[in-house]
Amino acid sequence: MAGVINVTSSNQAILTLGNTAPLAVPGVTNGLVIPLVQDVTVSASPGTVRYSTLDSTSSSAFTTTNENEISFNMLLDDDVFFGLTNTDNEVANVGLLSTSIAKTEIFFSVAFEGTDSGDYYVSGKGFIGGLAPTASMDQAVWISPGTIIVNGELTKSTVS
Amino acid sequence: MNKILRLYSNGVWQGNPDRTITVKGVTHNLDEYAKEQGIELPDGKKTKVLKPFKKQVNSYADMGQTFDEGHPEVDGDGDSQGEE
Repeated sequence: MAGVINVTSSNQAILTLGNTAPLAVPGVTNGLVIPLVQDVTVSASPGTVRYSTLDSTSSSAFTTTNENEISFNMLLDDDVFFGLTNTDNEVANVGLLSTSIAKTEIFFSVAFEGTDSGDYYVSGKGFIGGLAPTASMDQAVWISPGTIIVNGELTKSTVS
Repeated sequence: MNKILRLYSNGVWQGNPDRTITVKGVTHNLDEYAKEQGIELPDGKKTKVLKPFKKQVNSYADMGQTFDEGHPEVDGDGDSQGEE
């Protein structure tokens, strides 16, 4: 089917983080690519207010502000979660957990089609949250959800 | 539509200033890649077939025409004798 983005080639849906916008572009050197991601969700929701009036049998609505969020589930990679020395990308340097604890604003991108020229991605800035690592004997690896609470708008771009 | 055409806006290239692109991890020159793949770029340089500047002279163009035209007669009847 034309137009469907098939991600089974394993290098198309990519979450990249950086402490600057250029470091979060898909495929860029020193961008922190989150490995072992199981799923990722880009949520772009305009806020709405509904109201009803006595002269109408249906409610009306108007939009307020957009509320955007990136959510994902991942297996924990120790270097990414706890940090690995990186003089270029502070998010990679301190890791996801410390970045979340410090409430540091980060830049991100979600590549939809990979990192080739012309591939679409969505980018923005925000805060890491929602980390909740869990492990059990039945599920003997650490897994964690995560979210990026987007500060501002999502931007659609293409890889150059 | 090829993906690299997404990097044009109103026919103007918005990608890397040096016109390099990345395809499957390999960097290419945009124009060379497009030429290899048969992709017509909005700002592609049209290859003009330059014809040598040569005025064509049709040496047979006057065949079948009378030669009288354009040659004024001296006395009007061409018999070289003037009327008296």
